[in-house]
Amino acid sequence: MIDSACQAVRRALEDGNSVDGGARLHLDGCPSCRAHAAVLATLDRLRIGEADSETVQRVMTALPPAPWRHRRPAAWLPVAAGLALFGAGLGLLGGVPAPGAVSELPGVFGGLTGWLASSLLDAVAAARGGAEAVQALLAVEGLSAVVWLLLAAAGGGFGVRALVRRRAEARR
Amino acid sequence: MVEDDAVVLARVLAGDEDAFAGLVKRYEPRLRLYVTHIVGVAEEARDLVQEAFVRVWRNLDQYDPRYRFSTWLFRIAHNLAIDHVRRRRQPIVSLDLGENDEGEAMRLDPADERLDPLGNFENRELARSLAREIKGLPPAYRELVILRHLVGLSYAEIAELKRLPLGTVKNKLFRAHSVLRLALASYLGAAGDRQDGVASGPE
Repeated sequence: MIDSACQAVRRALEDGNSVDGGARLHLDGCPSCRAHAAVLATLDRLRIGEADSETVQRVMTALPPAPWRHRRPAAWLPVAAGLALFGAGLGLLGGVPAPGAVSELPGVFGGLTGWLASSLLDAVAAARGGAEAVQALLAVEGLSAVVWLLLAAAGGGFGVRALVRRRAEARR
Repeated sequence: MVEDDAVVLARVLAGDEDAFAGLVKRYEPRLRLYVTHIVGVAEEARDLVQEAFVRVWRNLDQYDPRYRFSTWLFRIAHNLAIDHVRRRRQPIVSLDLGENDEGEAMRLDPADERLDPLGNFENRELARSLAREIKGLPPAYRELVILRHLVGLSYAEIAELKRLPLGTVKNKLFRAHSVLRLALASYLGAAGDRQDGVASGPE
């Protein structure tokens, strides 16, 4: 079995640390550790060189135009356009529907139950407000405004999908 | 002086696309060696490495600088090579560093002298023995020896690439080195005949 001095010297050699005076003395008197050092030195000579210019040229020629130059704006543009159109649509309707008086009721329950009930009623109020807003939009602006909002939603959805796909590709 | 990978990448992303050639120059032979180890055919490895660079290029803006560029690059090449072998429905073969009919150490790619890691050994007998002993190592040891000494990755890079604890990588390499020391004792002119250190690496 190797002793602790052998262990320490070989660990230093394996880690690529320079051997100090004590380790050098040990190496002088320990043929087995000298052989270990010789193996590492031999293996270190196995490194291969760099690619030649022909190989580099072949790879560089195979590269497509840098797709990431245009990808960032291309991915964010639909999201930004969707948000802008959505905001414009809401502005056209006169703002976000205010929570109805009914949503104030759950306060009497207090705590988590009250918060959950309040959230649920807010969602119902928002849905109802949204439906009324679409009806009003149809009455005032006609079908084109609804198409406009649908396009905004589709653009946003496309953008989100593109971002998710990019992230998945990068993981690969 | 060799420019740091992160610096080169920053230059590329800032618009100096030709700087990418520096990374190709640095990593192509090492990558080709590693992929050849997986797919076993030099021509296929060359194409797969090119594809790996193309994939890296396409997703350069997705590179996470918390990790080493080399690890990312080798991981992409590794996945491509494994997919390729699966499509071929052939078993993964190991890097052949054996001898040809004339007893010469075989090159990884006869067309490219840079891919002959034994080429700079004046002692051809030692080169042949080294090739034979590396080939004869258990697969788990052999791959780490190739990654460390032929591909030139650091312990930390190997640990990241193979998703192994750093200590495990060090221990396995220590044991592989001990096996090689015993096998090559007669060439190295030192006592490598003690059966020490093979079973237990440094903790």
